[in-house]
Amino acid sequence: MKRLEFKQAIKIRWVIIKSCTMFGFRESMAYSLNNWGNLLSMVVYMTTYLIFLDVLFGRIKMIAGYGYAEMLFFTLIIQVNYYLMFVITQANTERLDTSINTGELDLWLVKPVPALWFVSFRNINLGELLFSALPATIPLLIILSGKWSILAMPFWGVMAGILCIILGQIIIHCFVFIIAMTAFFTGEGKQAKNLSVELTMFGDTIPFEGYPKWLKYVGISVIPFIISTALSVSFILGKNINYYYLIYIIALALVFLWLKVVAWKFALRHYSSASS
Amino acid sequence: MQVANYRTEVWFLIFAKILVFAGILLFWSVVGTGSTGKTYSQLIAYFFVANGVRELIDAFYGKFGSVIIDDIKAGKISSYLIQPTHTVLFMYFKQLGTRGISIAFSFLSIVFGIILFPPTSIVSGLLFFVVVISGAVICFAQGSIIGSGAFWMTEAKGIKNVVNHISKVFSGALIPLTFFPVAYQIPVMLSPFASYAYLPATLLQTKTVDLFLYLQVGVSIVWAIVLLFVSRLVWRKGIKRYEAIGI
Repeated sequence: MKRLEFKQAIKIRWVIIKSCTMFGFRESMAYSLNNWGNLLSMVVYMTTYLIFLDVLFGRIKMIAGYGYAEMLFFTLIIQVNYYLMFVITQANTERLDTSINTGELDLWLVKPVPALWFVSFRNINLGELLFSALPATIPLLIILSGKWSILAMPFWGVMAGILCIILGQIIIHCFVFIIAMTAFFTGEGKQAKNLSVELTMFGDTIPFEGYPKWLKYVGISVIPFIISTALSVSFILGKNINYYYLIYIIALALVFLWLKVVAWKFALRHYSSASS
Repeated sequence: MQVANYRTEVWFLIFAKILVFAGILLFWSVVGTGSTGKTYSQLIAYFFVANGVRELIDAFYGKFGSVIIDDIKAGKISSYLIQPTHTVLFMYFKQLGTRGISIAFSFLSIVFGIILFPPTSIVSGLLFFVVVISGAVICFAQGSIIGSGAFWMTEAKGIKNVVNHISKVFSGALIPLTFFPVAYQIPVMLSPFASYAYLPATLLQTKTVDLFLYLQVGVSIVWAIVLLFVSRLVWRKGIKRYEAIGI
């Protein structure tokens, strides 16, 4: 690819993300009552989860070597990852399923835009992130506020953890999207999408050190449910200093990105449009 | 039949449900059972029965409430109202058909729980059925009350999710209610949510039915009657409002 073509390709992708994000934001603002309902739901979820942790730690001292404060921090990272996945991946896979089912996808395939990029990021709901996810995390942040000093957070561990979150999100996005593409063959992909989300959130309340060895291998390879939360927290809290994991995860993210493109091309070849 | 048409989807649904259970089992195997006063198989049996019952009576996701909200929002309810049927019951049984796989799965889960830790008392076994029925009625009433909220608000799904989150913790599906601090145990055990998971699971595991268990069963029945009455009341009020706006 020539340099100018590459620049054009990047530019058009940036324009798509920017326009879709702005549209999603305006759309979410138009239904403000929905936001209040979602906010209430998320705040209550957070509160009930904190009650659960409180009740649990009333009986036990540690979960897989994690104390109460560490589990609170772990919960914070679970929330960050969940909201990121919800806003970027889940909303778009849901739309992909509907598009295939109704034949709407045809419209996007004939337009002069990178179709895979567009269907991957056409619905990024910033409103949800700003007005529901962020305020819902406040009760957790308040409880955590007096406990930061207890948490040991080595600088390189934090850096490795942040990298794990970013790469983990990319891997999860590709994984969920690949499974959601079964809708091209079955005509309906709602449960496939639900299953993939369930798989990526499997055991999301369990720290990295608590998994049996074989499940760790599964969780950092074929079904990537450990990387974005369990492994990243393990790095951030300095419990894991094996930085070779990072090289492996970078390679895994590249493999998943490649698989997503291959799966998309394969699915399109077998796509029998619903509208034509 | 509509759901079963997509066979791959059915398998995905079953696998997703197995995953949810596997997650709970894994979590408790990590936490350990030392502090619970129960053996591992007893605790696992508890979660199998508790979550099985919760799934059976639709307390897991509260699908009935969602169906009412969607039907009111889309105006579908207008066509139900002119039919010579009981509208709420019609909507309930309509969504019940779509939950066939979940119901079959919930039966399996309860059976696994019973095999892992068989009940020892006939009385508690009979009371289990009573509580499952009263739990189903409470859940039906809950769905109906929340769903009726759509007559006043355009979007009542947020409220539905709020109640779902609360019920998840206070029904004992996530953590046995005996884990709660002593001061909170009695109010939580006598709440309507306890009939969704904790009470039926406890009844199947208890060796003797004491006075407090009888009281819990009695309270569950009272909740069912009261909430059923309230749900009728809210529905009637809502319908009047719907008539004023729509048909």
